[in-house]
Amino acid sequence: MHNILARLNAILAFSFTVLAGLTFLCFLTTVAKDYSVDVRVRDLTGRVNVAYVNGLGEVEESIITGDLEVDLTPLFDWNAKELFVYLIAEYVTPNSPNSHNQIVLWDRIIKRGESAKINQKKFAQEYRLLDDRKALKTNPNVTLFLQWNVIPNAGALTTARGRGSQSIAMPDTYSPLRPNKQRGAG
Amino acid sequence: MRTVSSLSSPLLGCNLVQVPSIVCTEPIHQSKINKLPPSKMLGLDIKLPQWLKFEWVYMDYEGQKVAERLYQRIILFFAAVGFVAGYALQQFSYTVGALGVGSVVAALVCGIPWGSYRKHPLKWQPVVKEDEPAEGTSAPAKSSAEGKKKKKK
Repeated sequence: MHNILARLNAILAFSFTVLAGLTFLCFLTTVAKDYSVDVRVRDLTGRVNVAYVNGLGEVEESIITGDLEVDLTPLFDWNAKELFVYLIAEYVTPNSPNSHNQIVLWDRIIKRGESAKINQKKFAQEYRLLDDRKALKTNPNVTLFLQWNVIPNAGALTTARGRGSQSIAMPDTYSPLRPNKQRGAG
Repeated sequence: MRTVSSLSSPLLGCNLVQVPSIVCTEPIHQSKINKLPPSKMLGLDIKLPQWLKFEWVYMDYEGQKVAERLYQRIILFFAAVGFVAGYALQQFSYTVGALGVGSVVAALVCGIPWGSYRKHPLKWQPVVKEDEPAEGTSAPAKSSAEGKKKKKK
């Protein structure tokens, strides 16, 4: 404190100490918050076909589409930096060692300041839904739901599931998934 | 006592440069070293500008105490305001920004040694002149050495 540099150093050090305290308080205000909101997944349609994957051989592939509507704006409190939202298809294959299947079909990163409203008609599946045990055809219950991670300024990365999901029964016949591609290949 | 060493070149046979070697004519006493300004202690004869002088850059002890308490209060006040504003508007960058503003304000108010921080200067002992026989045994030795030099000159 005896000269200018020592005083500026002390002020800067104290400021950062206070900043650490403020960040911790910010974390405390949101530590018990429920980050779940209502989601509407509607009008799901699915198609199943056989696919060949290197190393797995003949598997089943499926494409599911539908409408997705959710408003994630209330998730952006002052401790939320960005959201990683992903759509999961969940189904059970009883006669397999890995009976509980969760596959991400679609995802989106929503940063702070961007529009957090998702209103997708006939959303396009981004990632392949493959099943090496061929349990997709005639599967009576494939459930789609939305889940997200909240990346915070301070604290733990929280995972929350949207309230609301829809299940579909997969068709019992194979049908081409991507008509144009199938035609081109054939 | 002054000596002049000449640098002569054997090829040209004449003096090129005359380098007067600096000879201390009298020993520097500790009391004299303490009186040297910092710029001269380093061997440089730089005149410090007025705003860099000791009285201007440094705070006295009372001023340091006041300044330390004041910057803590300023920063904590801005942090509290920023916390409330950030929570109300749900934007943590407002909190961080308010804290940054508070730091700058604190640096301006408490970092610079304003006159109010220099109202309690230290009371130093009065300067003891060299002529007074306050140093005890060293005083007569010094005077005798000076006398010898004067005789030689």
